[in-house]
Amino acid sequence: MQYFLNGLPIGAIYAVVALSYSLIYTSSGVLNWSQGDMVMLGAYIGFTLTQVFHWSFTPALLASMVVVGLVGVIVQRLILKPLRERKAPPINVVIATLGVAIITRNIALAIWGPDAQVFPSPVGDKPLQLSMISVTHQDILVVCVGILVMAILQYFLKYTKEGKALRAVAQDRRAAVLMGVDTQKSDAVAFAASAALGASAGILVAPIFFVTFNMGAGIGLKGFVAAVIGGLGSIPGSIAGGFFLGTLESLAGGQISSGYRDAITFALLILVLWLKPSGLFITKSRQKV
Amino acid sequence: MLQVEAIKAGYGTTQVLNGVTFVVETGKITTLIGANGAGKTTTLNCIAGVLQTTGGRITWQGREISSLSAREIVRIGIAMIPEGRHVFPQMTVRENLEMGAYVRSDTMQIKRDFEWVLTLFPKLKTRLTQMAGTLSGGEQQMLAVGRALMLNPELLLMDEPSMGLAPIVVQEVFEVIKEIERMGKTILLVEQNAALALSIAHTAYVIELGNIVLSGSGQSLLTNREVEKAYLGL
Repeated sequence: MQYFLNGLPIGAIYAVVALSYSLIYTSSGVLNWSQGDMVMLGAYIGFTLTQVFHWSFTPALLASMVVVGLVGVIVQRLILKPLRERKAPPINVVIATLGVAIITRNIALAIWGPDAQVFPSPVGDKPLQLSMISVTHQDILVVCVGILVMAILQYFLKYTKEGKALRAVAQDRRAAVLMGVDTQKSDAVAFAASAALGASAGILVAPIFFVTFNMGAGIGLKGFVAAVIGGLGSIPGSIAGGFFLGTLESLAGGQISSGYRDAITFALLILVLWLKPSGLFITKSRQKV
Repeated sequence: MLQVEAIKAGYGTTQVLNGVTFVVETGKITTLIGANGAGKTTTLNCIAGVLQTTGGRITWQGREISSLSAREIVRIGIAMIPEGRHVFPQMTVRENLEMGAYVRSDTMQIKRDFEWVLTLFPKLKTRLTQMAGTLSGGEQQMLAVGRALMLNPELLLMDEPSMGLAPIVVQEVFEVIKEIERMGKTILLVEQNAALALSIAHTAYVIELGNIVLSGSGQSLLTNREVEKAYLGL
């Protein structure tokens, strides 16, 4: 029970990062390897705003999501759009996003230096003892904000005009163009929303780990694994994959050994790719011809 | 009136249209019939702005539209129903219809058009919350037509609306096309089912290997000996 609870906050963070991969993948067909570094940027901007400028948590979270969202748009305009117009093969786009990751990492290194920064929890990390189990305020905050962010994304996709357009592009790009949807704009919206999701994950994860310029590699990879386990491109699948991976790691770390935690994660990734590459939580609905 | 004058187009180095010329009269059904690969869909794609022409010109109500993008074409009131329907499978029927009005902002009129589309397709009314991907082929075709009508278009381009449908459903679809004509819309219909298309068309053109080879009223082509041999299978 305790391991399960411990897994929830990290699971929520994985879920948010997994969602950010899926959102871009499903709507623009791009596997964006700079997603982890958007998490890192979000953490650094949150760190700077709260620790250097003494902002409180909520405005810092929102500001960080907005700024990193704009970075997402810049990435789309500078990298994806020109490649699309030249009809570059998908692998070139993937490699270009790897380039974005490296550049972002080094910009962060130049601005914030190589030392790991401590991001104290905005709500303190005193544990809350409830008979047999204990949770920290930080854990509760992470789970709540994580769920809130995911709920807002759902609302955006289901009930707003731009959100619906994004889904339309994801499901049938050609038909969406015939409806008059600007696919460049919907790509930009997808990149912005994904980057903002990453930033929120960054601020949430920062008090759990340290903030470093290369933290994006680890969390980005875990988020990607969660997305693949749950079903890359599927929103409910990604959320389920995130929580599943979080609790699994917590169980594996507690019951077996924390040294094997990552090994178990990647073994699971290989198993899923081998046995059910569409994702564990996806039942593919076939389209009628 | 839509005027297509000597348009040329192709994919990569393959030229598909070698100077196609025809006219679509306002408020009438015009059909373009021909064999597979003759250039029917390519012609529609050029008008819809999905494919850029490499020669000739297309004018709509006196305005040259050859160089407009697909997005701009939608905004001047030309809707296309693509071959194979292309409804958004993971969106509800209602959301699909809403997407048809994506470029419009006149909320009141959109609501009225929504009601009007539902009276035209009563079957869709009972399925508003159902995912479009779970509809039958005929229902998906109705949805694709309804979605295009949500633009309140002046000109409707229809690519093979009978494809893959049972004969009885095809009849239903063609009844709807006639109904849309009665409402004063201009329709350019591309079909492989030549007999049916000719029977409802005011004017018809036969396209072969990227050239218009024959034209006339729908009725006259129905009884034309060459058309009978090549396309009606009599």
